[in-house]
Amino acid sequence: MPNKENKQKRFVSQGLQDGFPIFLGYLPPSMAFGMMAQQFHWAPWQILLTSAILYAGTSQFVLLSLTAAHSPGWSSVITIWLVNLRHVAYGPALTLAHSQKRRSLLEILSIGWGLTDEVFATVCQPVEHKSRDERIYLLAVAILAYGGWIGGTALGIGVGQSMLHEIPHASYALGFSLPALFLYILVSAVMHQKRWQWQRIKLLFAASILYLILKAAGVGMISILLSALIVSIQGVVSFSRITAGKRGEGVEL
Amino acid sequence: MNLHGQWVWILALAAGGTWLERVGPWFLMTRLGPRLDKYSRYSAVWVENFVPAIVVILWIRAIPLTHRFDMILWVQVLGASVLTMVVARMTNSLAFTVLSGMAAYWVLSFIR
Repeated sequence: MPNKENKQKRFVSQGLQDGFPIFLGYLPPSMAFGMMAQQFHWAPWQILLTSAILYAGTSQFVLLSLTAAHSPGWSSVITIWLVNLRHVAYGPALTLAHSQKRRSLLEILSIGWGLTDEVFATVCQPVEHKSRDERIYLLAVAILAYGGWIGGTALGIGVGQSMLHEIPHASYALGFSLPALFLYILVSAVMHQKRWQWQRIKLLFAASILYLILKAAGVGMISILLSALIVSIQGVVSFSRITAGKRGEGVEL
Repeated sequence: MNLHGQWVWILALAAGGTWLERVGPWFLMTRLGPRLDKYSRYSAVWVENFVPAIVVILWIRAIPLTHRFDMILWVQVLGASVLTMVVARMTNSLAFTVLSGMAAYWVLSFIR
């Protein structure tokens, strides 16, 4: 028994060590969310509740932006589901990374809520420690990351208000925080190993043009979702054509 | 329904769906195993394209162009955007990029 307890302690300590960089990394963006949401006149309880139950960085800013644009409710919900759709791949990838380990439903429910991009990237690294597939280790990483996100949001609400009061210029500068955040995500999406992905840049250009056309045609807020769906489906069609062509040429994929 | 009530519903549905997206396929994968593997490439490509497509549209919507024909404002936004992209590429840090973008936007406001 003491041996089992020692093992558990080691897994927790390993989890806390691996989760600490995520904790630190989550503080600035969650603080920015807390401050920005206040700029959009959200009540502190709304800001904290969003961070506590949605707990998904990009989509929290997306929700903020859509709410400010008075987007229809169902359209906002579907947009957020689709923005977070990448999470669909994380659980299956973890299963494959952890040698098809069969987990109970309770185990998946308890760990799954905390499976963000950064947590996934940390726990899905090549296994050099046996502990990485242990539930207690995964929980320690997830809880610490969650703490960083909630703590940062609370700090943004608390410190943000006084900062904006003391430095009014900060309020003006915050007007560019959302475009800057989206630009960061876009640069990450179109850069791969320090090279521009021209195919994706073309896709983004097409999405922008389609959105502007639909907007000018008076399609309304659904034009956001519609343009992104059309362009991304077109991307899959091109991909399947390219792969089919390569198969025809006998290129190994 | 009042505005707060509607907002709570939007948040609850968005969060519930996000949570299901995280746990649902994981649970299925542990049961079905690699039999679903053949579709994973296409779904991955779609997700890879969809997220930046929606973000670029949100970026267009978020650009603070309060007066469309104010050329100085265009220069300010363009300058801050280019600087933000350069910092994003060089540092690869979300926090630093956002802070630099905000600082650039503020500094460039003095050209007015």
